[in-house]
Amino acid sequence: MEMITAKTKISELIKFNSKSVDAIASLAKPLEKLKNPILRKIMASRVTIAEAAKMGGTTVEEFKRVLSPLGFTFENETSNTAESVVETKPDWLLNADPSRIDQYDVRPIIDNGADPLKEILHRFKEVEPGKILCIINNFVPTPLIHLLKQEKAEATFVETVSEKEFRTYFLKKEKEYSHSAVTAEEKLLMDNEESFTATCKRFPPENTKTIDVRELEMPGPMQLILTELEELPAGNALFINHKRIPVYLLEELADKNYEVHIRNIQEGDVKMLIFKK
Amino acid sequence: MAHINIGKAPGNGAVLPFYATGAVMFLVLCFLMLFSPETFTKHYFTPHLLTMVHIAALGWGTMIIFGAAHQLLPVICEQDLYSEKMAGFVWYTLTIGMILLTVNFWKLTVGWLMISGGSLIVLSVILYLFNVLKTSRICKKYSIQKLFVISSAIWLLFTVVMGLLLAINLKFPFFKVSHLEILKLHAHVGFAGWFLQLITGVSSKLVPMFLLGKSKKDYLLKWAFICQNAGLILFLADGYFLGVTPRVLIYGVIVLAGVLFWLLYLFDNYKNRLRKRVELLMKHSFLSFLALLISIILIPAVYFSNGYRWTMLYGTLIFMGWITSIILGKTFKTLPFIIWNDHYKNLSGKVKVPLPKDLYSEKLTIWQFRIFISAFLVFALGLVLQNVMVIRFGAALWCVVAIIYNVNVFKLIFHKQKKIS
Repeated sequence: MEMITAKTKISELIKFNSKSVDAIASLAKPLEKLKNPILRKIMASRVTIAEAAKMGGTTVEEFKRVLSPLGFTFENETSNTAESVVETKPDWLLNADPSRIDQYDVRPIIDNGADPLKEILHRFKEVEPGKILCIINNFVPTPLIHLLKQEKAEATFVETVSEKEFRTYFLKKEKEYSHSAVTAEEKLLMDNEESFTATCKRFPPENTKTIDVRELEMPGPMQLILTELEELPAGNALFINHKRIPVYLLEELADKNYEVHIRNIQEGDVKMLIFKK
Repeated sequence: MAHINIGKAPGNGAVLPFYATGAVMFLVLCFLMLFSPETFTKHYFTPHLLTMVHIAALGWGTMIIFGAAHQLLPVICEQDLYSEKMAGFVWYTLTIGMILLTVNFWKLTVGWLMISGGSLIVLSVILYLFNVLKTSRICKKYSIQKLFVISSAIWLLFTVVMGLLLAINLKFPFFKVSHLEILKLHAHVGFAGWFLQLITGVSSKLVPMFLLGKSKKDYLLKWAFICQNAGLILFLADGYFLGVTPRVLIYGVIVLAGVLFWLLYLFDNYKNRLRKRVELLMKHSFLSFLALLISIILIPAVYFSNGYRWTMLYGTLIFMGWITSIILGKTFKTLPFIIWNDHYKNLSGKVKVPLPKDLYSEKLTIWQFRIFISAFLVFALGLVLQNVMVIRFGAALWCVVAIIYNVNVFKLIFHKQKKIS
């Protein structure tokens, strides 16, 4: 007997008994997606039973009903009735101009059997900071909510219009510089040999990418540096051999959350270390 | 690393005095416009308008360009300025020459003072041209931009020599052709030779740098060079030997083609840019290009109409629309970096320093942009209506623009080094 609760992840159920896929899929149409191995991979590890029930427009009780025959036992815990209480719209949504919310109905895509994730991410990228994207589909897109909440979305809200229509609102984060501007002056450091070496040592060689832009024609150095920075993994640093202090680059980086260390050794020989704050 | 050539930025003596004087002269220009708005309802050959045009062309446009060129040429060519001392010296001759010339225009005292003013300006330009030729001699890259910068300096020399001859002609008449006809040639060599070719050359390097744009269509610049120069040379030859006739429209069209080739090149950069955010600088540049295009399109009206309203609007589009707009934007793209380099480049020892853009007020540049647009529109409306009150109101707005610009420029120039830590 496997003990489960409403908070157990779907992936755990499947791991214990692969028949649970069919059992859950039988509950509601949206949950049939679990049969698709790719969608299962995306959803199952992120979604709990309670969340899946919400997505499918069904109840945890129903899950209990189909899972018990497979050898699962629900632990009695405080009932989740609180969750079913309709949440009120948050202020950011109430204050938003409805005509400026970007509505994206993905039901046709899903009905065609495709995964709209890529399109949704693309669409969300286009949304201006501080503006809202509304995804309309026939279930609560819990994995998407988790995904976007990790970085790009400030807040989310799900509005249940009917059993077949859920509207999920994503508030896009304001650009980073709006709140990093206060510390703009903290981001540029002129180092001496000692302090520069000390800073470089904070990043082990395997986490430091070194480039040399001395031979490049303008604006080549700046283009290369910006491209490298975009691809720089978190926690890594970019070490640059330059022939002058690239003042225009400094302005470009000012809007982003980078810390820039400059070691101006002599005319024609400048070392820089740039990393995300 | 011996093979890496790196140009040192010139000392600030070769750059900052030009920016400071240019800013002050812009303010003087706007105040003159405010206090003699009726000038813009009369013939263009009046003492007051001559004064204003020369303050705009020499004190404002050329002054800033000289300062910027002394700074940018070493950066673009990766080559030290040939002579910093000469560059610093040019400031004295240009400033004194410009003041002598304009003061004597205002009072219309023709004679040796005016002529010596003109001679000092010619001397400045000869020295500037020499410095440019020497600095760019070894510069193998950017041939087309270099060509524009050099040709513009040669045209500038041509312009000021012609101007000097005109000044002499006022005292000792010797031109067989009418003074006013030569004046037209003088003005247009200045526009299409000096300002247009300099701005074409420099912008086709700077705009891609600022936008991080790439264009492979270098042939557009070649055609721009050919058309701009062909149109100008034909106009000069025809105008001098056969007089200014409706044929100017043909030459206008050739120059217009040269302008369009250049703008197409910039547009191609814009399309292929990496930096998506369009900053104030680009908006200013866009307005400036628009003013230039409208002014060229206006040439038939200038030529065929009676009265001087279209001539006034034409000149205003060129000086206040095109040249002023591009300077207003580009100043805050070049000056902060010059000042930053001077104060912070050689600091060492774990010092937190401000960014270049923290050295001036960005907010003021936004207001400068907004009031610039209204000043231009109101002033132009006044010119078209030939209404002195509206012209005066427009000029008052210009004064506000100039004050805002001056505040920001001097905030930069008088910046005191500050360490944050």
